[in-house]
Amino acid sequence: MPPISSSENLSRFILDEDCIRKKDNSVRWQAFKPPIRNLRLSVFRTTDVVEGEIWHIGSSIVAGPQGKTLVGRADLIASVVRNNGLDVVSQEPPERHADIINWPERREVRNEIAMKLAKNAQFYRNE
Amino acid sequence: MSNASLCAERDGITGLTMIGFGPESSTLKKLFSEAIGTVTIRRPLSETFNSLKRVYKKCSVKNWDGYDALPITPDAYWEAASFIKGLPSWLPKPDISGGPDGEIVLEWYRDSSRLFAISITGENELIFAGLFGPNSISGTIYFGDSIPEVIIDHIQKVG
Repeated sequence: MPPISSSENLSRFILDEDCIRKKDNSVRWQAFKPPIRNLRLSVFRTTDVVEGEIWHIGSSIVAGPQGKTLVGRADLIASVVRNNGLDVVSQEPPERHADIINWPERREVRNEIAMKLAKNAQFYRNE
Repeated sequence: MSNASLCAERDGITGLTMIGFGPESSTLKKLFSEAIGTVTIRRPLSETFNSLKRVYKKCSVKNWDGYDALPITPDAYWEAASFIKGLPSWLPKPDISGGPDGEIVLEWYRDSSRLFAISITGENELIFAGLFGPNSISGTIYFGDSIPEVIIDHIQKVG
């Protein structure tokens, strides 16, 4: 896969129902916090991928192996990531997988950035 | 009897009839209303604690989010309970959820552009962040016996 352009669509698959606010069906910012062990946020590159294939990736590659149910996905554009001081790089396999990197050390700043990513994300429920 | 005034009315919440004369009666009536008000406000507080218990139970195992989240610790639970107990009754109650660092998240949310959240890890500190329209803030502050003023100010800003 070529390097990730800033116009690419990135999908963060949601595996926990509590990551969605019931009030307005928006995604919580915690869904965009990287695990503390490596500070890499796992996403998939989904530009020009048909809907059925996107959901297949989420179900069979992300949720299935964890024994989880796919709740939905939150999409955002790569430029949002880069405008917040982060970067997104290809991390295959699996195919189309990428990591959002360059997270700051300070936890409170990571929370603030995660809020900004969530604000610009669009949530789609897995029907 | 020039200062006395008859006070007889039925309380809207308890249904009790309150009859009395004079300024003492007014004072008692005021105290009674405040007490009832406290009970009314504390009702949602029990819901907040139920929510806290539910989140703790669900998120106290490793990988609860499917992305290697750390489990919420008992220390985080008790510290969050202490924080909620210390919240002034006139402030809105937070929405409670888990965070991947093993923290309990208390959130005040109007919309995705206006929110304030505190992460509690059980280490006597409040890790906070918020969006207020075009502005954003974040920081960490010591949490001991009382809730710092700066936290109360930010909660109020969510509106």
